[in-house]
Amino acid sequence: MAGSSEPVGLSPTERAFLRALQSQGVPFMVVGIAAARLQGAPVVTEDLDLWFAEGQQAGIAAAAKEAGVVYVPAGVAMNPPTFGGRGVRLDQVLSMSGLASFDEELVNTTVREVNGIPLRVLGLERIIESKRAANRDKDRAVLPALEAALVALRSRERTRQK
Amino acid sequence: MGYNRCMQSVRQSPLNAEQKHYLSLWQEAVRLAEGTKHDPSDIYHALCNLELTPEEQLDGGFIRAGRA
Repeated sequence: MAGSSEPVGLSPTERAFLRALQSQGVPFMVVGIAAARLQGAPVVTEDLDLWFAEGQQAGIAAAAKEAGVVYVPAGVAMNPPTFGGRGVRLDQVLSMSGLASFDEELVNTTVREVNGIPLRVLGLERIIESKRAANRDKDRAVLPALEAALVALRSRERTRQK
Repeated sequence: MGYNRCMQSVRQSPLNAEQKHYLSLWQEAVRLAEGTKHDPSDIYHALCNLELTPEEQLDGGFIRAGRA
């Protein structure tokens, strides 16, 4: 593979936070464009979208504190739950358009190890489904690339099965 | 027109292994896109991305580097 720079992946703060979530026993999965990216999609994003099981606010706050991540809970100023800090590109997704519940969608995840951290990643097919259902301008804009990536992914899966 | 002239003027020389590999990915992308609405270029880049490590995939996907 061409290129010489060392891959970085998650920032040290993000790694610490995700490990802390796991040690706190907070169930979550990676969704959105970062999840699509982890399945080959040629798309870019500002952040790593995390979808948590319901009722995990205390665990999320504790993990954030442990990792040095700024976490503003929802509703302080009519805000959604918000992450901040240097090297933090995290976003908490509150609901996924067009999909079933968090627990029901777990079956549609696979585990990818990123920087030594096993992460549950929502399948590309489900991400496409949620983008179709959300149907905002920015969702429609990425659909062609996501759908093309699904063709590539399935081709690779067929190759591996042979 | 300019693109075609450019392509025709490329001197053919034996491809090395890496060139052959990426050419095969491009050909696979074109084949997969045939008869669909998909852009072969999107499929090609996805096939390339699938050869990366998860860390490399994320590096290429973030607008902000986030290396604090």
